[in-house]
Amino acid sequence: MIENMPTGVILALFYITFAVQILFASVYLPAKTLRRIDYVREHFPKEDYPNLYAGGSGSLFTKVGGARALYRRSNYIIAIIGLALLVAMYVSGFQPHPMGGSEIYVVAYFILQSLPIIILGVCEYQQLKGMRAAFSNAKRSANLAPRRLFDFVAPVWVVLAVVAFLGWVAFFAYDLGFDAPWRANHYFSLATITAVNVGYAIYIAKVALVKKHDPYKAAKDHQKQVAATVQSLVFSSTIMSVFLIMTTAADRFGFEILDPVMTSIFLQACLLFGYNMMLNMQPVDDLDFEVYKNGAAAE
Amino acid sequence: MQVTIDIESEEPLFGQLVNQIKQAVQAGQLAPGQALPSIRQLASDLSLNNKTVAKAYKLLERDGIIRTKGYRGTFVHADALKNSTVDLPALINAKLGEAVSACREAGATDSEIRIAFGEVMQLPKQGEIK
Repeated sequence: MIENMPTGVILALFYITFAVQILFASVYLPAKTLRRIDYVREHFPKEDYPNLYAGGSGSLFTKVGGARALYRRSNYIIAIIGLALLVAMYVSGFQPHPMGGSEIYVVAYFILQSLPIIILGVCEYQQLKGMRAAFSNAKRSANLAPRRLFDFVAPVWVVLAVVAFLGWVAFFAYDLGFDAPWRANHYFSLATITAVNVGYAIYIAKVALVKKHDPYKAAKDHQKQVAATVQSLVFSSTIMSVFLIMTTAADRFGFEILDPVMTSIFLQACLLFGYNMMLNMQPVDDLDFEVYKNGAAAE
Repeated sequence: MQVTIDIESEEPLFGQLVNQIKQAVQAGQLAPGQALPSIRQLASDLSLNNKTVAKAYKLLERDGIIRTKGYRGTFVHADALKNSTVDLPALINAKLGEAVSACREAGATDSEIRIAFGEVMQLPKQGEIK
């Protein structure tokens, strides 16, 4: 069916998916993030909520200049580059290669789109580090119950992630042929994807469920943060396995021409169920900011 | 069930944890078999050193209030309620008081009792090889 698909349809799919990637990752998500930053700055100023502005995070909340401006401008430039690339592809009559490999453009552009997120990551790291260094609340409270995986994610999603991973391993082995000799790159692929999933599991067990990075954070907000982190990792694992099954199937059944479309959808899904879901699960107007006032008791 | 510690209190931090967990057991807020957070989780939530929480858990385990089951975690001991009512300092005072009285009745001076107490404390614990 796919091999009979008209080239025009494949091209339309590619341009639509790539355009959505540009708008979603470099326009929609940054705008959503900036609204959140501005909401915090306007409603919870440094004078009243000093503990919120620890470390180097102050520049993120500065209206003019600083990390906020860098984040906004870099996204703006990256979006323009993306749209220019899209137009250039259209004008030059670009067509995804039937034997695959054209997804490199999508991946390379996504790496560029990820750079502003690194700015946010650095600011958050500095903020949390500063908070922990400055934390001196005399009274501290904690819930006397363990945080367990299934308190934060339904078992069905974890089972689905495991089944999807095992499904990919089985399909990968079947595709290569059980009797065929495996080359180093086959072992490398298997080891890399397994290591990523093991890394997710270790992060959930040893960091997400155990550590409280923000010492001031209210207990209910911390619960939400843990849930968002755990769910995004579980969903990412499932999406990654499904994507790998799809690309293996593309190679086997000869529809590699759709690799750029599938790659773009995969990368957008990672953002949708990762960063975007984390923002949605922790609405800024629902967070308790009173804990960041001087002298507030930590939970 | 929440624990609250005050780092400016004169009572040691581990002592505050021990007392609050014992009080929670006595008040029925912690039931036998109920799971407790890991040392690392509780230390992180309270922004304390792991060793402080580990010391509190060690004392609670010694007193039969909690039980650690390897990788499965830490749980409230089945006899926690009974064990939490034991006032260990009072018990030690009573036992030592009896022994000191008996020694005095036998004619020992306080100085001799102190020297003997020091020697007894130097003896290896039961099952311990010095």
